Amino acid sequence: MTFGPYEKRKFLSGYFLIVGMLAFLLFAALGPGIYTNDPTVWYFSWQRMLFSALCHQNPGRSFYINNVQMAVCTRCFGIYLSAFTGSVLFPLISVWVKKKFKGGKILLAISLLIIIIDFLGNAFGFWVNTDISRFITGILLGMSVTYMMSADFYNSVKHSYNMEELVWNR
Amino acid sequence: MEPVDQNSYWSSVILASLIFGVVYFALTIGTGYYVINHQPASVAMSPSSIIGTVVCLFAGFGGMLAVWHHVNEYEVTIQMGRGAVIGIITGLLIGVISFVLVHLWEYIDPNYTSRLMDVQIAIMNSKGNMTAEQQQKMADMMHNRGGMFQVLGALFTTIGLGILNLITGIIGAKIFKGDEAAIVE
Repeated sequence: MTFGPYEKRKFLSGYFLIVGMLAFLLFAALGPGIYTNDPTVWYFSWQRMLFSALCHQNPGRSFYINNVQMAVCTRCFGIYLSAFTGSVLFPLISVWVKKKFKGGKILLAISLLIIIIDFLGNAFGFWVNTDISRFITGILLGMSVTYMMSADFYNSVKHSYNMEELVWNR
Repeated sequence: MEPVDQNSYWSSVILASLIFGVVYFALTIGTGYYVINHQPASVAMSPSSIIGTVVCLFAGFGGMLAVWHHVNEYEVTIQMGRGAVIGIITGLLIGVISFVLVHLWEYIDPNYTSRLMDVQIAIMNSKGNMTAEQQQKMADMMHNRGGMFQVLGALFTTIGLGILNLITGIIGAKIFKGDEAAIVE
């Protein structure tokens, strides 16, 4: 099966739409600290409102830019950062090496398990997780999701284009 | 020709958005009263902070639930684009439902919002990264921008819910199907 021009356009526009949204979420997650150093702006910022239903926005568990709290906590920032980076890198790498990445669901399950263990260990007092540990577990989750999704990107490219004639062909 | 799912997704969307909208509303009101009835200094977190402590990104999984329900109801494999549509509609509806329920609650307890706002100001002041002048400025802004601020807040919150549920809807379409993708021959 080969994709026609309509399917190719649909596939590419869908991909760039997702990457664009992830870029927007990452930009918003940085919060108002990228253009002001006034901490009073944070509460009224559209960035805080955007994530208010999605993240606890705990000031003690967030990074700060210019003395202004980011719009999301460290773990969520790790998720958005790695989701954007992974959505750009993994599809390109899979096409570059001409190989569909496998085991995405297992990686996703492992990264979720790590977050659950980290959360429970902290909740029951076995250890105290830090901004860095929460950030890293967030990165693992975002990376595993985009790694899993890159398999579909590879399938679509394979059915849309002649892999041997791609401009970035080695 | 690739298989196309023509089944209606509205029952799944409405079910998931009702569940998440009502649960999110209940958590918002419950934690709101918890914060109001405790000393701000001892709480030091906003209601959304406490909800998020229970589970971060909770409201983002409505889209995934709707996709799961749709896939199970019709026993179909759906494309990621359809998962995105199901997800974004679910997210927007969660935002609308929770907003409407919170405002209906104000008829039951008219002082809820103003009491919560006073506590929010106290919490912000207790963070310690603001000068006295900045604290006063923020308190004035919060009281003066109450109504419009709530509408804007609901609007941006709904947009955020829509975007994230769109993404979880896509992920749901990927997870809740067989290994053979619909676009593969």
